[in-house]
Amino acid sequence: MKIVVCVKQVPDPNSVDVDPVTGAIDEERLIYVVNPPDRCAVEEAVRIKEWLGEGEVTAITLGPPRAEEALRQCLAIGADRALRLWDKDMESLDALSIALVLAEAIKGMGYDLILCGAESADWGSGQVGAAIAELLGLPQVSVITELKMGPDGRNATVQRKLERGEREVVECPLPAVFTIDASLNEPRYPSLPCYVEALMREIPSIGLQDLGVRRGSLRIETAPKILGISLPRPRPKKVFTPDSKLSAFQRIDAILSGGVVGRKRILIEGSPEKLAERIVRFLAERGIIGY
Amino acid sequence: MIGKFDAIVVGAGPAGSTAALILARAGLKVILLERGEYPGSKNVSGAALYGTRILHELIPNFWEEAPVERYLTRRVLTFISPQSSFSLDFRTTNFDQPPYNGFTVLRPKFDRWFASKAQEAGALLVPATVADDLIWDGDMVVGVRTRREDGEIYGDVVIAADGVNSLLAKKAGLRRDLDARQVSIGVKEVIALDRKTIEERFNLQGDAGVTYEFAGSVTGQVYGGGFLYTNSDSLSIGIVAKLASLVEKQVKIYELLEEFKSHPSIEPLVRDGVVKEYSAHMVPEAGWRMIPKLYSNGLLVVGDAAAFNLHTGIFSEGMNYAIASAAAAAETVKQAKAKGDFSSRSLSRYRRLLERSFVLQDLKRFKRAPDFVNNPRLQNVYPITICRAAESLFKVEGSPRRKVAKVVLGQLREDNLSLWQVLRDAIDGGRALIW
Repeated sequence: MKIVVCVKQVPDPNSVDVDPVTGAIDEERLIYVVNPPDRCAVEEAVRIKEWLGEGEVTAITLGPPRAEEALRQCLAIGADRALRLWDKDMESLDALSIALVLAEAIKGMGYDLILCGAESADWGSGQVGAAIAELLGLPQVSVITELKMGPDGRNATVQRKLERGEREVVECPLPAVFTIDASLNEPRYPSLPCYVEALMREIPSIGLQDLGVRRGSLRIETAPKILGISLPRPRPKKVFTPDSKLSAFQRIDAILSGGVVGRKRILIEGSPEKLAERIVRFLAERGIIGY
Repeated sequence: MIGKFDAIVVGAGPAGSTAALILARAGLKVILLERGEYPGSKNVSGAALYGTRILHELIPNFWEEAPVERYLTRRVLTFISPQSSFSLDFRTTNFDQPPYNGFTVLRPKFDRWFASKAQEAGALLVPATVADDLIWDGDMVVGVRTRREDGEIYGDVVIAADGVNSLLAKKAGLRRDLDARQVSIGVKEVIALDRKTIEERFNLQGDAGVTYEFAGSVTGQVYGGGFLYTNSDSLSIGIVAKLASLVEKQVKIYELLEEFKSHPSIEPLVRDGVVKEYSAHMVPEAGWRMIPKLYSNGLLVVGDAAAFNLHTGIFSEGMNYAIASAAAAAETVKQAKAKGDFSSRSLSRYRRLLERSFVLQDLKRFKRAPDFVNNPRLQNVYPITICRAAESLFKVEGSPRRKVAKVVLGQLREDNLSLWQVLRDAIDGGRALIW
């Protein structure tokens, strides 16, 4: 079984120091690590390989030369191969263009399963995994907290993390893209021989041309730009006052609950097209989008 | 299991990186183990790097590429009492030319760079890996054991550059447990301030820098001192205090640092700065007497692990001794490799090389200094006496002035110091530092 894991090198959140006035990040102090859920994805891929008794795990990243270090961490955990994609045109790509480049590289190497971290610790858009699935025409299950391979490796049963502590169990045919939640597993502390071998490996790096991706197909100029970074300011807190029209009992009840009202939920099911239509209608009815 | 190495260097501080660099350049297969996530992430130092000649020999004009902060042209020794301070201020333009006399550095950056030079030379740097035991074959050290699974590494020789509390030197029976009277605790903050403010406050131009050392009531009744070094756009400020004395007086060292920072002579220098780092570490301070046995079959001890640290009150240095001792160890290993003999007889050359270099000569020459520095009067009485005497000398209050000798003698009497005692201490100090 060929498993491809997409990883990203991110600054360790503990090393990020934002100037409270200017919002500038002190780049000199940044320490780079493998995005934590991506590490779990590599660990899971290696566990699947070990469980099946066969397979090949490839860790792939899009990033500058320093990102090689992240790939070495993946090799140390047990990935068989590592590949870095880099080009000066890849410096400021948005999530969709990153997915396009990754998908192109993955297409070239063959796959039975693709794992990604659910979202990165730095930008956290959570889009890359979904976009890769779309580009490769694969089913996608997002934010998974449990993964059980079917005995023949042709399908998998996974548990998804939903809002408010709920979980959903989904069975999915392979090949597919799963995006991994960091609670899925605890990545191993690599043994010395694995670690040393990983440190000594040559890691290949390829660019757009090697992938056959045209620069024009990437959204380089239209990618979202960062205008500024600032620390969040606390929002003014609303003082809760119970509605005077309510009965005394209801008012006491409202005060005790602090004005918190249970959220309303609607669960809809159906084909992707139907679901998308329902979501758009839902938003349009509330005037959130024009339709 | 991983293959065998010619040399295993444990610890990627200045000592470890020096040894790895020299040996890798000589074509040996070297593995350099580091406990921290990256070299420099776990150790602490002031940090002023003196004795740049030897590093210059290893990496010519290293200051052009190394992350050094400021070259040092000014050195201030300040005695402080709770309200006042008295400084000896030395500055020279002779130190602002290559090869500079010293630099301030930030160790997380500097050590990382230095280790990368060893890597470029061909050493295999393995970070995030703790080596805490030796592998023996009879009475010969043949490798180290790390805390990773299957973590044995075999090699012809092990160089222990694993710092003041060297586990390897201890496991080899070369040193005993640390004695609280032999070590100090250093705490340090790195305080960010913009370049312009630093240059104005410390009267500096360009990349020139200053180091301040403080004696006296910095540490209250505890034995120790303070320091303040200028970096490019930050200050390193800290306290180094005797461990035994902290325990005896039941004082917490971080409280001393807070008091120090709020002293009327210090506060204006650090005002408006933002604390970026806080760190603490042990410092080997007993000098000559603390030096362990430096080698055994298949093992050499270098840097802080061998207590190569000089603290005399006027010098406070460690990195240059670390680099020089590691260079001597590397030379010894090169020869041993050529002969194929790593027995303690063959490695004893290391000690002879050190005896010929400034490392053991300095430590021997200044072997009385630690006792002198730990003189209670020197620690907590004289600095305050000096400040008070200066105060009465400079005070103008309409009464007839006294001459200097009268002022000083009067102050000594007031502080219950006999002239005889002061002379004896002066002779001790002279023997320790001057002749």
